[in-house]
Amino acid sequence: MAATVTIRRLTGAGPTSTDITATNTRASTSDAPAPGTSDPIPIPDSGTNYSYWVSTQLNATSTPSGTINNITWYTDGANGFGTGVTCVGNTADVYVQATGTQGTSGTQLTTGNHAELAGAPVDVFTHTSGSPKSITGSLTNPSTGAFGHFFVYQIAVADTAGPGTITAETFTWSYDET
Amino acid sequence: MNSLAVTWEAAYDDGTVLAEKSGARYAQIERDRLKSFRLVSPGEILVDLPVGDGRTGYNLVYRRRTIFGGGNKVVWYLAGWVPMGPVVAIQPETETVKKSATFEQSGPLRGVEPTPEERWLPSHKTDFRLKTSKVTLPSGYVLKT
Repeated sequence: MAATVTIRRLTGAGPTSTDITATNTRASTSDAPAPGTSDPIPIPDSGTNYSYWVSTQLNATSTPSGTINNITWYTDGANGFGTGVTCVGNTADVYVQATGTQGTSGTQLTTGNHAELAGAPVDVFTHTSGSPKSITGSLTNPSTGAFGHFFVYQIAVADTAGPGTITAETFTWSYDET
Repeated sequence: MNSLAVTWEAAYDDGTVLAEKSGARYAQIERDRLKSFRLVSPGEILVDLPVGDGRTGYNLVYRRRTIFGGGNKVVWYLAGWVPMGPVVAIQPETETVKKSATFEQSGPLRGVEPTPEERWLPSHKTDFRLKTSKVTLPSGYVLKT
């Protein structure tokens, strides 16, 4: 019997785990799991404003018959957010709650501000199906629950960005199961 | 056909069959007795991979590969022989089959992480060429290479 695996967004101090498998999740200037259009990222007069970083992870609500491994994360390789909007990210083995000034800017995602990051964040669009980001971790029967490292990302809005809602991008997870 | 209907069967040299649909686990396959490994759906064999020609049960690899995000989900079923090949991937929803001599750098046939029961011994790495292997494709399936 195949496991039931969901994509979760972790927020808050708890943290709270929210299923985002079938939804469009937004990055905002708050630590809300489903901010909707509240707390958008303001276009700065100069410099860059950031979203609160977004922590995502896989979670099995039913156990695999064998093992889940070979977890990867990737994009379509093309930044469709538009001028002045970028997205960076990296993996982390421990959850760290996002911080910032709500409604203005999140704390920049760096190894200094997020001590559990595996390395400096990079443009997420460098991770493609042909060169995906490998996510450490596995899950073996009879275990359930969260498994594998987190993928943490952040939207950055420069002063060159235009106003309005940006086009959604798809971030893809992949895993193998026996 | 849907992805839940695709399961594997391990046929042994004594004529018995270990079937996933009966609750068997991949790790329970007795690889020293394996005669053939099949991906099946009710009433039909989708892929039949017999041992022989240098392939043993210990070279067998099988995975259910899930790719999801943005509300979309695709499941590929991978089976084959490592390292000598071939390896096959089936995507039931689109009735697509991909076949390759070895695992590839990307796509549905991207490489796997071995499990403890899979012994890809260096001594087996003698032939990376695609060899003829009985791969039975159901009607309507497309072979993409």
